[in-house]
Amino acid sequence: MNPPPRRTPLIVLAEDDAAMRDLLAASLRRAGYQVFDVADGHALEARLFTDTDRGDDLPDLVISDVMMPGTTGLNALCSVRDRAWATPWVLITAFGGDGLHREAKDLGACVLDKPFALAELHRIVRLALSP
Amino acid sequence: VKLSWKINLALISLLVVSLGIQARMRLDRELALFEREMRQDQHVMGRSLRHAVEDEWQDSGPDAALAMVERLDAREEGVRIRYVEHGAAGARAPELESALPLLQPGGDLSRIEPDERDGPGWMYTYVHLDLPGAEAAAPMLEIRESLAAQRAYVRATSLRIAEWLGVTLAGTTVVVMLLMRWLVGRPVAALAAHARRVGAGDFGSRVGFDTGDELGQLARELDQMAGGLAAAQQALRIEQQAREEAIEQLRHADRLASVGRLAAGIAHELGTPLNVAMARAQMIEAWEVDDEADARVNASSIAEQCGRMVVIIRQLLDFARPRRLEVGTEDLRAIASDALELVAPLGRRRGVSLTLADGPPVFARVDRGQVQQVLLNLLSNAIAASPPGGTVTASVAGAERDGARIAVHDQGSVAAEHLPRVFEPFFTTKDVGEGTGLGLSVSHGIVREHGGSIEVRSPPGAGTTFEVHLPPGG
Repeated sequence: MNPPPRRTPLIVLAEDDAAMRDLLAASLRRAGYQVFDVADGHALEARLFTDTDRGDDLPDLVISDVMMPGTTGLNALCSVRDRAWATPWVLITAFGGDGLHREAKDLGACVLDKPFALAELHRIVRLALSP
Repeated sequence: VKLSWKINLALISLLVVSLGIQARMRLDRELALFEREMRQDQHVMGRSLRHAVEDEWQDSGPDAALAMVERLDAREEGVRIRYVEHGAAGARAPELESALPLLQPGGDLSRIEPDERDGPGWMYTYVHLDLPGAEAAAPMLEIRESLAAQRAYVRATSLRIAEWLGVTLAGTTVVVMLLMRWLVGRPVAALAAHARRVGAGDFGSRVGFDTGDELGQLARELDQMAGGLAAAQQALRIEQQAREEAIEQLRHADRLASVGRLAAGIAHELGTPLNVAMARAQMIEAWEVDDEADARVNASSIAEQCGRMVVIIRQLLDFARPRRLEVGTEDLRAIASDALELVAPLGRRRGVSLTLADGPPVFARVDRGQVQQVLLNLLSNAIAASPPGGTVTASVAGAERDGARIAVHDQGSVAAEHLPRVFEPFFTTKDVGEGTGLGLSVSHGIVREHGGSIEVRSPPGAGTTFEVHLPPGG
């Protein structure tokens, strides 16, 4: 049996700050990932649920800010887990308290505190996407 | 001292009445004694004269006897002696008319008669004469003596009594005054001084005497009262101190909470631009760029993010730095009008119309620039919160007594749970990057520095109103 053909991993990136979003998207694309970026919580949920229901691919990884207009990253994560999807998730936060870290861990997500080095992000992304 | 006089007066009145009655009784007694002696004298005199006149009448006849009476009258000083016949007219005392027939042979009768002209009066004694041949005429000897001596005696006695009374009263007054000063004046003065001390807040002092009488009891009560007051004051002080400590603790906790929120806000606001700048710099450093132009794009992004951080820090400093007010008498309506003009482009871009309610100028003592900043903050918040096509209404009103009121109303709404937090630093419901969450905190600080207050109302479905109150006079 041949292993399924390897495709470029799809990362959904949700970040409301344009500069940050551009930076992360560019960096991830440069690293060879396929990136679908959205600017707020509603767009994230739309991509995750509506588009997927319509037949789009489930992302291999979601990177989302916590504080976003629309829905917070944490709420979106909860919705995903409610559907029993094990999609790896990286939460980016400016002031992640202990509570947030615990909650994220319970939901099987990993937390990146701003400011972080891009290398750190790439390390976590590689780790999350490794089989 | 007044009390001493009152008691003295009462005592003296009592003394005057009792001594007066006593003196009067003594005078009466002495008067009676004097009269009795006088009467006795006249009685003795009458008895001896009767015998002399009766003997002369019998030996030498009536004429010799009458001549002898005249001689006797001339001889006796102060006493008039007269021969009278009861049957004849001229008897001095008409009142005696009824009594004289009762005069027994060998008897006599005395009587005091007042003078007709308010003189001292007279004492008369009538002695029955037993004269042979003249029985029908009822002859008598009349002895008459002026009561002037008696009157003089009474006057002298009265004077003596008055002198004695005066000396007694003066002595009594002196003694009473001294006693009152000693027994009442001194302790009362001490009590008054003590009451003054207690009134001035000195609860520790004691009256310091115990006379054992009513004043002593009052002193003890005063001491007890001062003790009670001291205890009450102490309790009050302790309670006050506890309250102040509690308030201080609350303030401290509040400050800590504010510092925590501030730190979180700074972290949140600076985290993103810092992250972008750092990553871009690292990308250039590792030359993870396509070419030089791409590197330039990254560098300008770094500059842009640094600019963002500068703005945030500047606002933070504005918020934290104590501002010095440059107060002048300003027309709030004009300030509001200027602010409206400044935010008009923002309103047009969002499709929000701005209006300022008409009215007369409202003058207040304010820092024009700072109040304008408050209005700019409130207006831009209102525009941001308005739905497209909405209206933001500003109004300015003032009353000399109540101060001035500036209100900014929009058709957006603030969630009830957010209302208490809107003035907190870094609290924002706007999209990240759109606002730092400092605008309302800064406005709140400015209004408070003006001695005013700012409040927010957002009843469901009725829009949101921010209202600034500025005190009268500024």
